[in-house]
Amino acid sequence: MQDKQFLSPNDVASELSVSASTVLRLIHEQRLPAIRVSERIYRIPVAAFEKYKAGALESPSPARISPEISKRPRIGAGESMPEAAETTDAVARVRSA
Amino acid sequence: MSESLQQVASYLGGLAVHLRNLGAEVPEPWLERYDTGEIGFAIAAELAGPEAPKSAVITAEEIWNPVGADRYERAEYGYDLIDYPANRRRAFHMHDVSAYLARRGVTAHEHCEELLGKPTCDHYLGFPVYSGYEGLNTLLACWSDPGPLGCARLRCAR
Repeated sequence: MQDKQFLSPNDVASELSVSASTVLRLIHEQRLPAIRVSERIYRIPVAAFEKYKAGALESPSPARISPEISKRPRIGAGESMPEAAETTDAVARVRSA
Repeated sequence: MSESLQQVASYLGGLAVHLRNLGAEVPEPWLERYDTGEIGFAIAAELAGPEAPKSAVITAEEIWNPVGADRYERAEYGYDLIDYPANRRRAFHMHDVSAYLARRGVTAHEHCEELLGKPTCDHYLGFPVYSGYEGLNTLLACWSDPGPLGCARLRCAR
């Protein structure tokens, strides 16, 4: 298990000596963290499984709210914008004429 | 759907714990208040796994607009996966909405790089992502899947 980054529900089932359906139930009940890759495929990160076994999973708690007012960041800063489409330019030209 | 300041703080705390419970390293998040009256946050999660050349990183940024007394709506977002060990990137963005709407007729766009830093298209047409959980879970699914990201199947916003 040391070399793997992800486990399947079957891998976890054999580690815990339970059935795969029990593992899926744990996932659906959100007691075992897992990544849903598709309708029927789940992957459990080894690090998440270690946390589960150690009883170290965290419960959600609200984030702290900053007492300071800060400058609004710009999401996508440094990203190029798509060029104006020719049709859009044409509409703009007609409107401004 | 609008939320109160406390609800957004709970949502942000939930996103951070979601990533931590999947084995990611996430600093304690802060919900920021901006000079525009908006609120928002940026979190970065270092994912568990190979650390060479660097660990894979997921970032989530959101900006929420005030829409009433103690009510906010998510107006902009950026969810990014930079998978350094696999040398690729996937992202879901909604920002500069009026410009994208005017130029491409979409509010959201995506980024997809099968080879990191070598996109075949700068922006792909995208659909809005319902919440941070949906954005992060889609990126986590990409991260956990060794197959191609499938950039060629997306529509380029040229």
